[in-house]
Amino acid sequence: MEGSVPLEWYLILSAAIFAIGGVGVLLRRNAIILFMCIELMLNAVNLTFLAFSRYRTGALGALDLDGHVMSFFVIALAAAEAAVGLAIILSIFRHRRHINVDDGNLLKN
Amino acid sequence: MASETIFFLILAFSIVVSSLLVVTLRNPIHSALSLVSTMLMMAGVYALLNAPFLAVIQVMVYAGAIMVLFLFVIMLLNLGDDELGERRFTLSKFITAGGAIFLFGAVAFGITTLGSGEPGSPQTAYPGLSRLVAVPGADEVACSEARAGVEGDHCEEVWVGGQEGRAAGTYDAASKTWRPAPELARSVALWERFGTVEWVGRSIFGKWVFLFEVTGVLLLAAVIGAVVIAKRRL
Repeated sequence: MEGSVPLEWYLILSAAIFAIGGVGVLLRRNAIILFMCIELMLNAVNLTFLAFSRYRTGALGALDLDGHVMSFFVIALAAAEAAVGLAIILSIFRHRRHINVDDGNLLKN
Repeated sequence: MASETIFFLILAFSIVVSSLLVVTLRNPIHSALSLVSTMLMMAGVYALLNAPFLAVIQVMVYAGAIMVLFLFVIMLLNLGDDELGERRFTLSKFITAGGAIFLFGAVAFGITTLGSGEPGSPQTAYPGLSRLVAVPGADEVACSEARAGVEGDHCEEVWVGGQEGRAAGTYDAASKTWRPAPELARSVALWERFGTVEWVGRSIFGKWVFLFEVTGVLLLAAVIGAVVIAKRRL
């Protein structure tokens, strides 16, 4: 197993996914795609947690699974967030017949 | 090249391509399907990181439950061309994309500078990061100070890949490797426990049990909230 992937590669992959998700959140106006980009960003964070957990365990020589636990909670949070968010999208669609986030100004004024 | 590197490069390239597709494709169904493939390949990367439990959770919860919810809502809305709107390329979009590329470049530069161990790099401020080295293989022995040894050289902390714990060791010039003290060889295999259901579960239901209970309450609140919001007209 010599020549293992260095930690930085995982971190850079994670940064790339996070940046792509961030671009999506800023550029797209379709609320569903916006939500999917948020899921991408959450996944990037999970990848960072798992990479640090593994390399910390390697450096300490002792089990350090806190990163795994945090990823587990992030996935649970993502499920909750998706359920509420999609309910809001459905509600907006019934009210306005579109889901363009730029036109959602119900709470303005 | 080691097989881990090859798998990582293939997965990383496909993940970046399919996540770009998530952002750029116009039809939400196509976006959702490429997000599913991104999630599945992310599960592959988790497996590379010795996280079998999280890889399975990723496939079941993300690629399974959450994406089915997304697809369900997309099909329920059934957006036509007029709702999707024109594809517009404005100046602000290019500025945003350029800003994101700049941000990624800055983060990547920071990461590589932190980890490179060059003199003058910020790792002097964070000495922990420089010690996060790659995991040695099952029969690979390393000194924690990462130095080349001479015959009879003494190392305070020697550790074997695949083994838990540290012990003192001496350098053996004939085999060009470190010889750990016997107590290290007797210890339980570390990487057989890392990331498994049993040990992640011990951590969740031991150290983090309060957080786990709070997550349960949060999920209940989210379910009730989702039902209430989806039922009533705004």
